Amino acid sequence: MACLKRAFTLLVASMALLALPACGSGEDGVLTVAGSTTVLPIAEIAAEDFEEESGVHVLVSGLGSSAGIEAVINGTADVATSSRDLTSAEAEEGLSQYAVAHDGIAVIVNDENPVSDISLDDLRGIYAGEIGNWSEIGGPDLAIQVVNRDEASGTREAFRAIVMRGTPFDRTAAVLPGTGQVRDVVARTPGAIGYISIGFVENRFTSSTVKTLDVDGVEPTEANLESSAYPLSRDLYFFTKGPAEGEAKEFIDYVRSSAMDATIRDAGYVPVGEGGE
Amino acid sequence: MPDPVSPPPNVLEDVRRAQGTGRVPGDLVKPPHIEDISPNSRKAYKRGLKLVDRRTYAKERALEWLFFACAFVAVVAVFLIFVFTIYRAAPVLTDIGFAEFFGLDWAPSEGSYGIVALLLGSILVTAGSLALGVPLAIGCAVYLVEIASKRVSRIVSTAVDLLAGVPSVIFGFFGLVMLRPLIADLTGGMGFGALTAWLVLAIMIVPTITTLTMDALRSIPMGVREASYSMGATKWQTIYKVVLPAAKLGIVNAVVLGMGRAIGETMAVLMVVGNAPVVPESISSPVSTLTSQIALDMGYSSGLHRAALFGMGVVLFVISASLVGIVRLISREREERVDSREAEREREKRERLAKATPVELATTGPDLSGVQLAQETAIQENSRKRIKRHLQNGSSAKVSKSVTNATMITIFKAAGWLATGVLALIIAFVAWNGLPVMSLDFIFGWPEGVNAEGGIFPTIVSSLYVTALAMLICAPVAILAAVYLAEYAKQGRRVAFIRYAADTLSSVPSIVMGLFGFALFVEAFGFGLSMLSAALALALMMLPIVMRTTEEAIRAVPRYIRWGAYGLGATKWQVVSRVVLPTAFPRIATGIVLAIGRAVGETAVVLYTMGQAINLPITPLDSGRPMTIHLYLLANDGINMQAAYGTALLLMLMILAFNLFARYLSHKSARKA
Repeated sequence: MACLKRAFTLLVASMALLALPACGSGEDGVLTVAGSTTVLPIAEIAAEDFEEESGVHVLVSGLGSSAGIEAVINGTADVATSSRDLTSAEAEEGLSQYAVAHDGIAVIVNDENPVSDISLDDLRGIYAGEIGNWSEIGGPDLAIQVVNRDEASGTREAFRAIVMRGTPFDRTAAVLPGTGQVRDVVARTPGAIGYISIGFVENRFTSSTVKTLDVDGVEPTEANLESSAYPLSRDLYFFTKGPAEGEAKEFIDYVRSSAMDATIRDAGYVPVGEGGE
Repeated sequence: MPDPVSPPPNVLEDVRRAQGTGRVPGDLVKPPHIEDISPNSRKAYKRGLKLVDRRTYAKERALEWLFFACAFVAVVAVFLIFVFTIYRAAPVLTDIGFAEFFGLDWAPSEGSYGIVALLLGSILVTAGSLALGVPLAIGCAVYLVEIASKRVSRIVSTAVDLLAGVPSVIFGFFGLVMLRPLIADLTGGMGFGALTAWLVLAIMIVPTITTLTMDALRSIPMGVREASYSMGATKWQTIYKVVLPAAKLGIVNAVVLGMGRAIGETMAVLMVVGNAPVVPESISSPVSTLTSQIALDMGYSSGLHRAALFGMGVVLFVISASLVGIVRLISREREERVDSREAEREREKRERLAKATPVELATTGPDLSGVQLAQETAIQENSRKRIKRHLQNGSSAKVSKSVTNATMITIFKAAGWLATGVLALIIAFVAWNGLPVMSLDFIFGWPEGVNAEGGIFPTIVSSLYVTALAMLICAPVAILAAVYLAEYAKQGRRVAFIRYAADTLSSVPSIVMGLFGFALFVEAFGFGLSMLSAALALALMMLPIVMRTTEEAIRAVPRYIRWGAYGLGATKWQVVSRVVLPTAFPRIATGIVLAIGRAVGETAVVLYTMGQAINLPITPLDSGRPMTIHLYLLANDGINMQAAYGTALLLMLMILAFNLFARYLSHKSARKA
């Protein structure tokens, strides 16, 4: 009987717990940030630090860039994070755009691969499955093993927009759900090719190395990124409905301040600096 | 709770009347069925056996209805899962079209939603893993039951049990980090593909198939083997020609359930197949499956794409439910092979025996039902005939018996030790890589930075929080449901239906449970991505497990203890709550602890019900990230692998601890009995 009594007590206790209402939504001093999963890690850390400094509670969620922008347009979120530009339809909604970081996509191959330069067209050919051997683009006679990212990835989205331009991806390529995995597989497989954020090419967590390819003759360096000479680059944005005000403005300023530089670099991106438009 | 009703003086008389046998009382009276002697059962009450007052009767009836409602939760759950997943998948029919849904092209971003390549991927991965895993598992079971000494058998079967408890995300992690590079070197590819998945899944289905095959082998009477030996058969001949054929249906049963496990497996497959939604060129090129594609796409999908994922969920549900149906058909087949007249004779003999020594009744545990007994005898008969037939032409064998015998025994032995070796390998892999990371800061610290350096404390709390909450929801319902099935329900269509529902519920692939949890708890109930949503989904997954173990525990309580309580005039609820449940408590606790181990290691169910943000949950409506998802995300990112190893080690240690604790509990209760 004792055990049953205990069980009933627990049951009652659990009911009481369940009855606790959700608290915190719709109050002042709360900032809602929604959008890109690419920007999520940065936004989360910024939110935490910002909350400590200003006492404003920041709720961050990663739903994808489109969902975030949609949420700002219909007012359910204060700030949208995005790893892409606005579409023409979205641009008509009067959103203000704040770049928070540059992201460059490095095309990586195995260290042993003698190829060092690739054109955008060849890159598209490889990812569309039309070019299947390194010898077709001046390399050794070695089958190309294509590594792609999953569709949730902002990097894939940017790669699709910049490189593929409407040509569909080859669906027989391996789809790996993480930057480090792509890097690791390319580092181990002689014929492999992949793409990752520039910040992860040199990685303090591992000793394995990969080689970056110049794209159309331009080396993926930070300088070439900032000057927009390197073709595979994009910016990460925060959007607000109308010019940012109050807490939203403070938060965006905080993300663009030098306090966040280290975090942004850790996440594999290049900080835009305080002058960014 | 009212005081126990004091027994009226004429109770024996009434009981006998209720029995309605009219037989002369004496030493050899058939023991009455529980239903007949329970003084407040409806039958007894209607016959005028009014041993209790109206209020007590009403209360007892209300309780019975409550228990029935609990048992019916399983039926409701299965129904809800089916209906809700179909409801969310409806656009597949209206907007995508049946023909396109069963097309070959899966390219959601281009508007193609054909699942056939994924379905083929699932079938390919499952078939290969069965081809590798089934011989290993059967060999392992044969070794444990037929060959190994008691001591060795205990070690190996512990290993098999522990292997069953290893979370799928750890298998996946092991496959990704250890097996994939090996396969890559062997095949010259990247190592992602069906071959790697086969190896990982083969290991994962071994415990399921081994345990069930062992049950099948154990149910074959020793006499069958003795007969075979006495005719000069070697051990191998006995195993091959007598024991295995006799256990055939039980083994098929085990394989079908193993197949269900393989086809529903999500995380381990997701991590090693390479996720290319095409018909693969070779077994070492990337492929994708239904489960892994759902897990991969669910997070960002919307509109038709999401509907297609729910459609895939329906397909998986239908597959697993039909596998359960097949298993039930096989069991019915097993029961029908019984010669009923002989069964009756056998049972009466058994009952006479049982009555002669009540102590024996207590120690034999659950009563062997007539059907089971008869089944044994029937198989025994068949086997004897078979032995004779097979051994008559023994002279035609060209190979020396002893060589074959020795070789085959060695092979079985190897299978048994291979399973143990794999467990040791996985533990060693996790420990070797994880130990250097281990520190108090790692356990009690917070993750820092975008690459989750520092500790994993919030994920440990999230894991334990959601498991505790799930158990609070699941355990009362499951225990009361088991009470209904074991104590109140009469075996019949209603109970069979509830059991079928529970079996189906336990076979629902975890990612489908996750989809359902997302659709119902997260969205429809509006609980959001939270501990509560995840706990409810987990509770549904645990429900059939706790139900089954509790029912077995209750059935293991000897009948004479109940008779004693009834004899003192206790009502049914008093018997159940004060006698049966306390007696069964150690075994119930064992089942709950095992279920906790599974819940802690569960990934696919919580992946899209709990959220993934690192957060220390306070209220049930907070979201969080449990250890399994932390490990999965770290392994996927592939950047901070040290933290992944550390998380894997802690997770593994927690689950091993739960499993060993459960074993300790069951041994303790076994010794006490």
